[in-house]
Amino acid sequence: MKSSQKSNIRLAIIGTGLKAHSHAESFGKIPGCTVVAAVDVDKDRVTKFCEKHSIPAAHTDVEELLEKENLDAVAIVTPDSSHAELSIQCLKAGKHVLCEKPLAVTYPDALKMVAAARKAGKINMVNFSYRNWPAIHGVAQAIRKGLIGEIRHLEASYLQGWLSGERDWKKFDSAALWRLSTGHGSKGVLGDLGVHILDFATYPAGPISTIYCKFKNFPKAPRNRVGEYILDANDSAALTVEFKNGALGIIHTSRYAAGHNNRLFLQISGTAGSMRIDSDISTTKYFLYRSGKSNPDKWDEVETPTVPTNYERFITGMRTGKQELPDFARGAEIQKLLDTCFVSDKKSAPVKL
Amino acid sequence: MKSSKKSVIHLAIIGTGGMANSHVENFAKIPGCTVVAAADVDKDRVTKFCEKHSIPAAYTEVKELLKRDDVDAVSITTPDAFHAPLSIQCLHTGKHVLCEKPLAVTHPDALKMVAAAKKAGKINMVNFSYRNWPVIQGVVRAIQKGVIGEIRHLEASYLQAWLTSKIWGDWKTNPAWLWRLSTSHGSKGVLGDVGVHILDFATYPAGPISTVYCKLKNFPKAPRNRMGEYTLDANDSALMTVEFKNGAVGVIHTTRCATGHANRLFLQISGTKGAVRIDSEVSTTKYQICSGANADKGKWEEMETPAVPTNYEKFITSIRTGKQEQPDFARGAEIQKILDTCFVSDKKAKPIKL
Repeated sequence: MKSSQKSNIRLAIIGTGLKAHSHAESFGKIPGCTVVAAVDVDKDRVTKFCEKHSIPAAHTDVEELLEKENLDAVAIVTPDSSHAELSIQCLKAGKHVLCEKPLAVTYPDALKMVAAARKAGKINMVNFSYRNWPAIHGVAQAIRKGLIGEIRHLEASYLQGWLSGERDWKKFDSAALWRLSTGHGSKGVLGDLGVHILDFATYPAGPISTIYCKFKNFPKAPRNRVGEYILDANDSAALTVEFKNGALGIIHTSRYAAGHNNRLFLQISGTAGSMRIDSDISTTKYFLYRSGKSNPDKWDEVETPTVPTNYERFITGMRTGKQELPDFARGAEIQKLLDTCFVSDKKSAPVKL
Repeated sequence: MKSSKKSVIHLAIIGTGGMANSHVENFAKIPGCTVVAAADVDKDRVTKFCEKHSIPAAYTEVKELLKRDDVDAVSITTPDAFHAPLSIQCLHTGKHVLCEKPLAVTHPDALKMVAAAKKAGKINMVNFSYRNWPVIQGVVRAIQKGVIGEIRHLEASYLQAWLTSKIWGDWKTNPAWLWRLSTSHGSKGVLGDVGVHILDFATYPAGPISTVYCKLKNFPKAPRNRMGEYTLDANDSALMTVEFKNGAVGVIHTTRCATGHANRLFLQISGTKGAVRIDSEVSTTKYQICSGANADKGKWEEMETPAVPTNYEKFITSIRTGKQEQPDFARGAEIQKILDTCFVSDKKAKPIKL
């Protein structure tokens, strides 16, 4: 039995909302791992989830799950506010943990998670999903190789348009409404999308040293309320940042960007050239323009090889014992940037990291 | 003779550097106006300039030029520092004035120019050259018509590449680029040079800015950051997070280090009903629009815009009709105020209300 347990990794999914389905499906495609259980406080939801994905065991209590099931690892897909507590509980029980983004609600909480992972000596990853795009790895590698020289200027945006257009608020369901309401745990577009674009920008360009951030909540529904939801979370976030390497950058995100369903854009310029990713065009190709190129009117398209997904890297990490990225420490770095954005907006001042 | 003077507007060009050539060439295309004189402190330069463009009279003193009653209007294309004193001098002698951008070096100077123009009752314009692009006028009209609803989010950039490539030659050996890198040679960096354009480009359709946070950056580029007599200390990048009076939020940035973009203006404005976009690398006569039923499909359409009169044409038309056209000195002063505020914000490292 021992060898079969070693070769077949046994997983549980904690939290069975929308995002949990893509976890179940993604793990389902990876050979040598099985989702053996799922847990949710909502019994009906977890039962249906297990039926749908042919998962043998449904639980409504995490402690019970950890006690009864013979698990190697868990994927935590609960609302943000329980990420820290659940991750730490699972790590203490000796499980490897893949946690949905954002890693935590605050940087101090994120640091506790990093410490718990270190103490447990278990594989820990945060699911920054756009790391699954080959283009971002291609850009990060090219920059490390010095292809565009020293970085000078960066522009990054994550644009969605779902708040623009004629909106009938009566048709908005809780899955959309909670994202607009701080009382329901939302940190607005910054917490939702900003976390991705901050990882997307700083993974290739390196750490940020100073942030100025301005949030905006726009009036949308009558009295800015829909039923129990007060629509007070930030809808746009506009950042001017400085990097440790001396470069400057603009990073912004909005839910009012009509014409962009879900677009990540990144352009980094250095002393020897520029690189660009536009997810509306491609997530496997990036665009490169090196100074002095022979055909100056055209950017070159660079195709990038397929990369393993976060799910695959999580499983590989467990097999090899080698921690892959993005780990909890990376999640905590991004959390620190998020926290700093809120401080900057509140103080109306740039804040050093 | 009187009637001929009325029908043919006599112009003089003050300052005969690079930009002066395009002034003369543009005025030459407009019926009913003639450049009759030019002035420059550099006698050799003004003589050659007048020969090249068949301009009958060359002056080295503006005072002498202004003694000529037959000169109706002047175009001022000197270095920035002389814009204010020369404009005021010309207005005092009853000339209409078209002044190159930036209008002045400081907002207080710009306000003096506005006051002088008002007192003289003469036509006054600042040459924000990208107003000549039909596309920006089309976007302004679309927004005024409410096609994208209330403005929420704006993104504007002016990107150049001449510091990190040789797309426009080698900046290290050309005084035309070197002075732009040096504050003691009168440069206000990329912000003064092209920031003025992108600020007009953004705020003309989106309305006035209420708060600016601006970060400027000078990058090391030569040993001891010097090239001969030039200390390379001007800003190479300028980045802003701004708030608009209408409640929208925006990012505006410009740099000379954006290899791959020789000279690109980009503007995207998103509102409650849709979005509009201008990308000068795609077109300066067509803009992109996503609105109405398309907003929910995320579908963009191309809108062709009709030709618009240039600033030069508008200046001549204004002189004929007596009706002041845009962009006037007051508009130039508004932009100057934002520029000044950017420098204050950068220095104080905090956002500044306008």
